[in-house]
Amino acid sequence: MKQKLIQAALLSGLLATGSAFAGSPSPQALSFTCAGCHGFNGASVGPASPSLAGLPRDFFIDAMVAYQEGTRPATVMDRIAKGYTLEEIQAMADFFASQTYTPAQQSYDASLVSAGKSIMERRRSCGTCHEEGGTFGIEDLPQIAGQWSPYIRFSIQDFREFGRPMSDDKARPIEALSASDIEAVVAYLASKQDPALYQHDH
Amino acid sequence: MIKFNRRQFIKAAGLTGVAAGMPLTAACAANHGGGSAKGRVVIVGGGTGGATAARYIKHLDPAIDVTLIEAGQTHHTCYFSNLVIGNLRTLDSIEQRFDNLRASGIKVVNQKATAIDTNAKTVTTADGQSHGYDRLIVSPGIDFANNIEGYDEAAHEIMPHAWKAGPQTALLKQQIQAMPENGVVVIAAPPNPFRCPPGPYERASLIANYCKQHKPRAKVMIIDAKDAFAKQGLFNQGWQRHYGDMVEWVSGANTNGGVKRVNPGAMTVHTEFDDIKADVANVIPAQKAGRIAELAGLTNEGGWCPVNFKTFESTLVSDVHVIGDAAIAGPMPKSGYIANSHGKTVALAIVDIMNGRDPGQPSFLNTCYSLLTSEQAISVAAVWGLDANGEVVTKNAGLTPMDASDAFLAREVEYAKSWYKNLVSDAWG
Repeated sequence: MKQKLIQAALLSGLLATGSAFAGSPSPQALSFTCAGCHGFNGASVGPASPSLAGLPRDFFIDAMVAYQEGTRPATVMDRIAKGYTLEEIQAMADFFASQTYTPAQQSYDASLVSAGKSIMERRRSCGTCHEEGGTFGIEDLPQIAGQWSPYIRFSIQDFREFGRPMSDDKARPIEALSASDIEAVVAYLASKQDPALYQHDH
Repeated sequence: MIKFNRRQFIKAAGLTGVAAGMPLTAACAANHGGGSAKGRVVIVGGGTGGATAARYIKHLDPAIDVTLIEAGQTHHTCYFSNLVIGNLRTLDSIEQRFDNLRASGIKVVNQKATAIDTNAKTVTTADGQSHGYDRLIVSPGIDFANNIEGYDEAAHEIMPHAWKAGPQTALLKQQIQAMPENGVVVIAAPPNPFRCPPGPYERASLIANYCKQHKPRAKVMIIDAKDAFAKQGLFNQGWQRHYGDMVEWVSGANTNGGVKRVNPGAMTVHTEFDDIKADVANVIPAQKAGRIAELAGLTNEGGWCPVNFKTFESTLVSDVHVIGDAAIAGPMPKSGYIANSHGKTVALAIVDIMNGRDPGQPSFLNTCYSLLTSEQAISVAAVWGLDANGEVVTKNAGLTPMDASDAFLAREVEYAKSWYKNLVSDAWG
């Protein structure tokens, strides 16, 4: 992990100066083009496309590489990801990781929130890795709270129905969810709208 | 195991002075104290390209003085106007305002630009005011060529083009709703190049979607100037599946180039071989760069504006940049998303130039959705960059796969809605 951190810092530092990779688009030039779907500086205004701002760097890279390789189900992102080199993806990952996560301001079914919380907090459930109510992911996992609800539903569907790869630790709880469980989890995650919830000091 | 997260990384990076993506604005504001303007940028046209350029220049360097000249008090986006015509959205929902751009420090002048003097470097507006610039961005959208006999200004009010959104959009919608139950809608689709290549075919889809519910014996006929069109296989599949015989496309090859003449009094459109009576005639003429570009000497013999792809500076006139539909942009289509992409490219380039830096390499993205029905959409997406000679090269491009599942096509509708909302939010704030 420490090695990764140093590499990340070096890479982003070099890219930020714009001089090390003459001939390559700058992180801004690359990342700005995403805004038409993912929002200004990656803070999506919804209603479905996810925010990229504040995503963990390695999660972004893994996602883009999975889209390139066809291992993650996609509508447009497979076609878009194939247009970038790994270095360009890393530059975008750094750009978005440096932006502030902006939880979606969206409506949700308040009556389902406590049920969703219970599901998240079950032993060996979502909350085991998506900690603190999904506002924090261990290792390279993203915040799942505060993302737009349709995207959360699509992601769960991708894991359950469309073959998005996952570990056994993830498969067990996600496959155990009923349709009403999913809606409860979606409501709970959508209820986390205060940006302060995402300022962790781990 | 040590828990590591991005926040620690940012903290660490910040301490060592290599914070990635530190807003350029902070650096610039520090260098220049945010005081007197370091340069004047005037932007003609408050559509997607112009609004995006204005916002991003101000974002990247608040010390640059930015003036946006737009004839309208508001702007209706052409994208998603087919949803208005098909009764899926209101006209108000595609109306964009300039308040947020004003609030960010951009001077918005709601006047028509009437003249550009590229020697004196001024833009004159209809109120007689003169606006001096160091760098000018022209984002004028399209105007119509005279390729269809009889299609004059008066004819626009009888046979709407609805290819500039606003009252024309409302008129076409109203005509479709008022036509007989077995009405015939004729769409005269234009020759290449034109704004929004899949647009006429999405329009046919959403008119059919409306008619299927409200006028099931109606017919939508597209008389094309072309022999092929964008997303053709996907549209054909969607039309067969959802609308059967209701939608008919007539290739340009069958008519020797589509509609050549109209008679608004008789409500007829004419090809070289056929005379067709329409209940609603949506006549979309051939196109060229917006008039002001031509007046300023920015257009070539084809009526469009050649540019340097790195900076979008005109190759005909220095210190003037042309973006969006009016620019000749190689393989990039004339789409709203591309205008937004151009807007950021020109913003980065001008901010670099005004700060004494060489402009960096651009990167371009287009994502364009078309609705087949209210529940199903298809898309095209492409990434472009520049090669060593400064030419646009396609890095990757692709369409929705044929035979995609209903779940896939339904997701594309949800993402299309997000595309719209984020795109307009990115451009107008």
